[in-house]
Amino acid sequence: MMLPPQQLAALKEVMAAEFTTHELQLFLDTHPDDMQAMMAHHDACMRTMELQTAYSQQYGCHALMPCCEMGQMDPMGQMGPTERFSWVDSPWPWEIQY
Amino acid sequence: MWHYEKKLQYPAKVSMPDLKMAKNLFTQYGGPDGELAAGVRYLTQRYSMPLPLGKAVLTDIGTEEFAHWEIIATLIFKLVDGASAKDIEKSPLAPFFAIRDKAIFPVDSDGVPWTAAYIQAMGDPVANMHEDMAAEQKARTVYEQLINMTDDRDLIDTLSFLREREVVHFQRFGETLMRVYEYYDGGVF
Repeated sequence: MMLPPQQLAALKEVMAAEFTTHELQLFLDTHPDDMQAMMAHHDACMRTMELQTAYSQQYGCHALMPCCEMGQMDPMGQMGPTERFSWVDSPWPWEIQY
Repeated sequence: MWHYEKKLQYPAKVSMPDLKMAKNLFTQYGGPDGELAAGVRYLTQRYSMPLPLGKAVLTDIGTEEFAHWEIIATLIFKLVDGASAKDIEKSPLAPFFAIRDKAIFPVDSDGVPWTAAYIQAMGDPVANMHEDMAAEQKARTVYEQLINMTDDRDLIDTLSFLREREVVHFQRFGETLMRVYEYYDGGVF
């Protein structure tokens, strides 16, 4: 399936950021005392979290991973469930045209 | 435990359907040096790895291999997408199709089902690290063979990413092996 160009670009940014974090994690596994790598890992990790949060806010709570999705506040001020569990509807990675 | 995220580690792209390359790619899905074998091999070896650092390497690389397994499946999915039964009947994928249609099942490019006989886990982490380094080199060379068999620039891009990962993993296992040797030199035995 074709994602809107803006969404695809945002998804690729999340993918790239998470890959950077993972690559630094592998390096740190065998160099656990490398301060420079630890700082780079921290920055990459923060960037990944920010991008993931922004993506999920923009494209749906379940766009990337399972989340605690809640719907609208009812008249009593209680949060109710959404009408449909969106995890089943957000696109699967092998179906996306990159 | 593991969590699933609805994204690939790297965008899997193909320019056009290609049933021959789909068949060839199966070796990295369910073959002896494929991503499934890699993931099961490393995650299985964790339990006899004495070094905390080695447990981290096996866990993190083993986990990454399943992300690669998904990328290979995605490439095969896209390479057969849109092919009619008639196209497949005339292609080398016909015997696969006869058994299971377009399902992506862990077999090698010859149709031989995946088996745990492809991998090994020993109590000895020196032997395991050598096995893992060899596995990464064999996977690297398979990716080079696959790259040499296609002109599809998008497919080559994705396969090149996977080839690079084999090189990085080889490096990390080599570093782990050095630490394992240091550990035994310290008189642990």
